[in-house]
Amino acid sequence: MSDESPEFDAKVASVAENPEQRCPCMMLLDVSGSMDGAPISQLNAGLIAFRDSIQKNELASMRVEVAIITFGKVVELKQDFITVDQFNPPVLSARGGTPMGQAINMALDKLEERKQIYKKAGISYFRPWVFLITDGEPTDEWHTAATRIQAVEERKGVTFFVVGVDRANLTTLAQIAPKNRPPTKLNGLDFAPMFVWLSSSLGKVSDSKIGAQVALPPTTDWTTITA
Amino acid sequence: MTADQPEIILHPIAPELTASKWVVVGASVQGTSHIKISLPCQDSHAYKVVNDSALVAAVADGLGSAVYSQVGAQLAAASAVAYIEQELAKAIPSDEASWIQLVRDCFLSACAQLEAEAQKNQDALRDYSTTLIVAILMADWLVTGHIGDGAVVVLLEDTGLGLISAPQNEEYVNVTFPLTMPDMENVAEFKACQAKVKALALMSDGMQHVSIHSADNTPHQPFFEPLFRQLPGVKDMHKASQNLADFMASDQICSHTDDDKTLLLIGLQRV
Repeated sequence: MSDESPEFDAKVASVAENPEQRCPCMMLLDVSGSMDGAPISQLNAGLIAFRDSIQKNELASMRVEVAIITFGKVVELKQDFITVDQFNPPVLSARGGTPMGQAINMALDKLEERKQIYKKAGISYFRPWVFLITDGEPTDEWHTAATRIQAVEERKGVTFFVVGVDRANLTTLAQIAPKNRPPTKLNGLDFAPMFVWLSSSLGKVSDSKIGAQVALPPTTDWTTITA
Repeated sequence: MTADQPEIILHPIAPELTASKWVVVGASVQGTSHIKISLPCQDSHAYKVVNDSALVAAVADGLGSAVYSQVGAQLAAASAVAYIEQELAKAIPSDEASWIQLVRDCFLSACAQLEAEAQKNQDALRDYSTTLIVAILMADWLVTGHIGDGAVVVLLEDTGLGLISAPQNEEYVNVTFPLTMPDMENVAEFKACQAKVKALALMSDGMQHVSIHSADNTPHQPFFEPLFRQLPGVKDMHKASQNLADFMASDQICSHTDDDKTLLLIGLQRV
């Protein structure tokens, strides 16, 4: 500045150190036996693409929090909520059945717990996303979990996406997904573009105040075209 | 100017303001996320000295989800100030109830302006969604109206620094209440109190994040105190506003918020 001493200098104000706003994203990943081989290695590569893509956006990588629940031989919180700037994607391996119902319930419990932590710490947050990826159909009791997550979605508690891979049973998945957001079918095993889409969508959501309706980028890069 | 310089909106300094007892330093600055995706600055502000006895100020933050929210914000802020000016020319309220009536009518009128604009262009009202904050300062009255996020912080002669109007949010930080919502006049908060105001700050939510503690909604004293303290010495309000805009566009602020931001600081000239 050329001014030797301005009569008003705003720089003397010191900024409040508020915790960054958070945009939680829970990934529910199918690691059942049928995912073994190419599907699981593509999924692992997809997670890395997701991380790399969000990390390009500094503010988003401090705002987007990711957690991973895998369902296969067991249902497991593979990654508790962590901001993407700290996120090292786990390497997943596949075996066992598809206990999707149990996984959905665990996801909703974890999210509720997370919201309570935010509230206690005075952290403001965006509507959580639940992103479920499967190549099959549930092998456990799933009706209760489906009813529950649809009710939570209905009262705007989460935004729930279901993605079917390969031979996924889209008829059953349609009964689990929210009525207004039917399951999407992944194009082959091409997970990376889907995760890049997820990252830019979360980036958009976490970007600023964008109101209740967020226009998400098109999914045409990674979905199969159905007539 | 490079391509990623933010858009800065400064209100022209009117002669009646310079001649009045008030100092106003303020700016709206485009957020980094808006620069990135080529969205205009959707914040707007307006202010005016009325009859040398009242200062009327408004801040509006157009919702990013609305197509013409930039127009909505400009129209809401400008028409709110114009409405108050027009009504104060007729009569000056003398009690709390009539001040609140005035500011409530001002919000209804601002919303009606948006409706007329939407109708004229055959758009939906929600395309013009915006928040609105209005403050009226008289020698012994402080009157505020507020819908949506953003905040009003006040420095009072007797009780010091405080938040007079708190941000309104639903559960999620990106969901707020617009002027255009149904039943707006019952969601908005209107306040009138007799007070000796030393300084006042109106802000959109972009500045709220860096100046108000989110845990308990208290103003961050080291933010406001140095700014308020300098107001009485300001002779060149345009230059001071430019200085404020540069600060709001700096990394110090932009590393915390990527949203559009508006800050209007109002103080009393040194006598």
